Amino acid sequence: MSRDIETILDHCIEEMQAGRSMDALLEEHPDMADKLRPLLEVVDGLQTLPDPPLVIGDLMSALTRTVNAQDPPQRERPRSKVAWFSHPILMRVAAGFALVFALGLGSTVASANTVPGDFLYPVKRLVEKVRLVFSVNNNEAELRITFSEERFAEGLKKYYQDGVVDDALFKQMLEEAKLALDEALELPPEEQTTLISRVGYLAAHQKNVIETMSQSASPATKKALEPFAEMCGRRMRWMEGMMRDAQMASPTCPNCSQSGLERAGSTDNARDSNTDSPRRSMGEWMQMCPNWN
Amino acid sequence: MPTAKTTAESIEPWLGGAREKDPEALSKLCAYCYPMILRFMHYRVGADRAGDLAGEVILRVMHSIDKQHGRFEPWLFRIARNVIIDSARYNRARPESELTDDMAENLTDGKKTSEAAGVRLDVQAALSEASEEHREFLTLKFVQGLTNSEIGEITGQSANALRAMQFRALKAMRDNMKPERMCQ
Repeated sequence: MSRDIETILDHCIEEMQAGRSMDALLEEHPDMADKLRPLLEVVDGLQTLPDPPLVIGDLMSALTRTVNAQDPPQRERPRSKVAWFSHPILMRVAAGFALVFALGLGSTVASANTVPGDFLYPVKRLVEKVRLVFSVNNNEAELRITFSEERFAEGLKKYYQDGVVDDALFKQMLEEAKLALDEALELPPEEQTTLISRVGYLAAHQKNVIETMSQSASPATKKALEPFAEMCGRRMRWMEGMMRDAQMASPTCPNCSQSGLERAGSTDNARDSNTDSPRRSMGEWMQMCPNWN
Repeated sequence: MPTAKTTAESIEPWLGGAREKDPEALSKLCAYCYPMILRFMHYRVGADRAGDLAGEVILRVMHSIDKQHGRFEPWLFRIARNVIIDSARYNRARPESELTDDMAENLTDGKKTSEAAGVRLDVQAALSEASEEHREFLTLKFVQGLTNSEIGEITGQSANALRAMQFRALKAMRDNMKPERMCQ
């Protein structure tokens, strides 16, 4: 009898997990329904337990505490310790997590000022990716803007530190801004406007800074920087057109009543190229996003 | 939040990169495993220790992913199981099966919830009072959605033994729950 009910219970659970209702299953086993029902109700209760709150800080701090523990509860500790510190990526990840925790989560971290080639740079990028994966709602667009700013800051630092224009960083800067717009289009109109404006300002700022850099640069460097300044300018004009067609108000300066992008010098060309054009949808504008390819 | 059932196949493309310690693949693997392990730990050892132990699991996963072969979820939960065992050895003075502060708080909050939520809280409380062996099985099977065959890979028990334990564990749970919550 006991064996029978175990087998039948297992069968009912499988069927319930496949989508059949409890009542339908109990009808198949009327002689055992009284015994099965309470057990299947427990199964139902267990399967609908809520998810615990997910905070990325938990992951970071937990990893850090584990790495920092003086006497960690690891069974294979002697062997793993050697392997761990012999592996550069994992050592850097551990060091990064340790520093994130030591300096306070959410604040400036030790890897934050790193550039490609630095010891902790891969940690910075890994943490960015983890933040992105755990992002919610409009957070992903915000993060993409932050990453674009980060790549730009890294490009500047690399330039002033080593005199090198790192093409890859400037391209990633533009790509992150484009991804921010992609994400922004999924948001409600009000948040969409704010985020698109921010990406517009970012492009204007990046263009201005790159042009300023160019003024004191060698001819070779100037030539290397030129396409990025030009691309930022094209993006600004493109966004101005997009915002006008979507009837979004560009943020206005309270003193001169010019829009933000007008002050950044983008609107003349935008008007020239788009005034007579038919109104386009946001999707059509996104397909026209100036890019490298 | 991913469960073993819903996303098992989606990690396949990253596993190769993760085994090569590629940061991009490692971050995806970490993002896939962490919510799942956190959920498992939450119901297995309680909210107060779940974050710590889930972090330890992720660290061991990252450390030994290059040696992983076979089905991923049983491998992952074997690590989780070992972490709990090692932690229990390390903190022998701390009983694992206490009702955690967090769970107790949830139960108090439960006064203002619906009948369905009341049943859920009863299930949660009964789970926290279950024996270690039962709680491990119930969490793997019903909270994580693993099959008996996958659980067998983790615990080393036969299909018959697991079926018998399933019956005993659910019966014990039911006995621990408030009778008035259960349908008669």
